Amino acid sequence: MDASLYASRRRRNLIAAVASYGATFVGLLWLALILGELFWQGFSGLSLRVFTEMTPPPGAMGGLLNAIVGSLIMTALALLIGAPIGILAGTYMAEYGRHSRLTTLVRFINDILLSAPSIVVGLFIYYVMVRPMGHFSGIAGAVVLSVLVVPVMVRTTEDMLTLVPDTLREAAASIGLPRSLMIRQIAYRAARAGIITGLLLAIARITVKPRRCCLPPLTTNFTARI
Amino acid sequence: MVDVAWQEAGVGAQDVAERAKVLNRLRFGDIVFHRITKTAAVFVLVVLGGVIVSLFLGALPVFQEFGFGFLTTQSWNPVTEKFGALAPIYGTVITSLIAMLIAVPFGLMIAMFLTELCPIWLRRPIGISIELLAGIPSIIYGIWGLFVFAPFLQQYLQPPVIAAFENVPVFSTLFAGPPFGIGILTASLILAIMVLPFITSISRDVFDAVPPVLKEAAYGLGWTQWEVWRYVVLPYARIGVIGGVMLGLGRALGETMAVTFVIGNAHRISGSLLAPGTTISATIANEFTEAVGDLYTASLIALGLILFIITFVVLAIARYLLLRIERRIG
Repeated sequence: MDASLYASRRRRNLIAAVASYGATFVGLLWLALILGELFWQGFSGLSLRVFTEMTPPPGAMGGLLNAIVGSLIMTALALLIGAPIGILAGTYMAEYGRHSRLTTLVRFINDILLSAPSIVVGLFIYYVMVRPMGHFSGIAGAVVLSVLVVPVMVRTTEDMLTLVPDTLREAAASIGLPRSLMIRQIAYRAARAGIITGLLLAIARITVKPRRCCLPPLTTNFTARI
Repeated sequence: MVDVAWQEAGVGAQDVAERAKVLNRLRFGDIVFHRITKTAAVFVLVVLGGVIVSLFLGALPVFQEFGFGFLTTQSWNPVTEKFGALAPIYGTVITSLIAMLIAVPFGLMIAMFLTELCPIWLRRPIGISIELLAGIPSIIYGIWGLFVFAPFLQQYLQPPVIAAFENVPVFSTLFAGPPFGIGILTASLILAIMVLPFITSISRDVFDAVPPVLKEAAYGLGWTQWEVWRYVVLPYARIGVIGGVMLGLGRALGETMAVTFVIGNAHRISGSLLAPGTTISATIANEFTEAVGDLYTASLIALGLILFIITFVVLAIARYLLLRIERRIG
C-alpha cells in the first residue's frame, strides 16, 4: 500500500518534470524557428545604409533611418511619460490603498485597458489632443504610446509590491522608518526585478505597434520632429 | 520619554530642535509621496475612463442606426452600409480561448522549469530567450505566420487532421473543409506563442517570490518537487499568476497585426476551426484607414467598444472565480 503510493507519487513527479522540460523545449523551439527565419531572410537585406539613410523615394536606394530614429524617440518619450505614472499609481494601489474603493476601480478599468487595441487609445487622444491642437504630431503619438504603457506598469507594479512580504514592512516600521522611505528603500528594492520585467513588457507592447494603428497620418516619412 | 532620555544624556536643546526638523521633513515627505501616488492613481482612472467615454461617443451613431441588431447580424457590407458585428466577436472570443488553452499550461510548466528544475547557470539564458519571444514585433509574427507557418500547416498538419477526424461526430465539424493554411486555428496558435512569454515571465517572478521557508518546510515533510510546486508554490502565487494570465489574455484579445495576417479576414462564422474568420482588432486595423463615410467609421469604433465589453465580461468572470478560490481557502 505504502509502496504503491510512493511509486505513484514518484511517477507523478516524473511526469510533471518531463512535461516541464518538454514545454520549455517547445517554447525555445518557436523562438529558434522565428529568429532563424528572420535572420536568414533579413540579413541579405541589411546593410549599413539601412541605418544611415532616409527612406528613399520609389526606385532609389536608401535606408530606414527615419523609421528607426522615430521608433526610438517615440518609445523613449512614451516610457518617460507613462512609466512613472504607472509605477506611482501601482504603488498607491499596493501600499496605501490596498483595500480602498479607488484601488478596486482603477484595477478593474486598468485590466480592461490592457487589451485595448491601440487604435482605441488613438481615438481618445484624437479627441483630447489632436483636435484642440489642430494637427497630428509626434507628441500626440508618444502620448498614445504612453497610455498603452500605463496599464502594464500599473498591473506589474501592484502585483510585485503585493508580493513583498509584510514582515519586511513591519521590520522597517519597527525601526521608525517613515512609510514613504520604507516604500522607496525597501519595497521597491524587493520588487525591482518584477517592475523591470513590467517595463520590458511595456516596451515590447509599444515598439511592436505599427504606427498606422495609432494615428493614421503619423506615417509621415520624415525623422520625427517633436 | 525619548526626549527626556536625550536630555538626561546631556544632549543639548539644539540637537532636539535639529531632530524635530528632520522628523518634520520626513513627515512632510511622507504626506507628499502619499499625495503623489494617489494623484497618479486618480489620473490613471481619469485617462482610462476618458478612453472609454470617447469610445461610447464615437460608437453612438451605430447603435442609433442598427440598435441591438448590430450585435446579432453577420453581414458586413460597406457598400450598402449594412454592418453586423457577430463574425468579429466570434473570431475574437474563439481565437483567444484556444490560445489561452494552449499557452497557460505551457507557460506555467516553463515557469516551473525555470524556478524549480533548471540548473542555476541555465536559468538566465533560458528566461531571457523566452522573454525575447515577447520582444519580437507582432508584425514579424504575422509575416512568419503567413509565409512559413501557414504553408507548413497547410501541407503537413491539416490534411492528416482533417482525414483523421472525418468520421468523428463533433470533430468532423471542427476540422472540416479544405486546408487553407490560414484561418482561426493558425491565428490561435500564433497568439499562443505571443502570449506565452507574458505568462511565463510573470509566473516565474511570482514563483521566485515565494519564501523559501515554505518550500523547505514542505520538502522537509518528504514532498516531491511536483507536490511542492502544486500545493505550496502555486497557491501562494496564484494571484500573481492570474495577473499574468490576464495580461496574456488582454494581449490575445487585442492583438492586431499578427492575427490580421493569418486569420483570413472573412466576415463569416464557420463551424470549422480551419476556416478563415476575422477578429475585432483585425477588422479595425484592416479597414480603419479605408473607411469612408461616418457610419463605416462609427461601426469600426463600435467594434472597439464591443471589445471593451467582452474584456469587461471576461474580467468579471475571472474576479468571481478568484473570489471563490479565496473564500474556499478562507
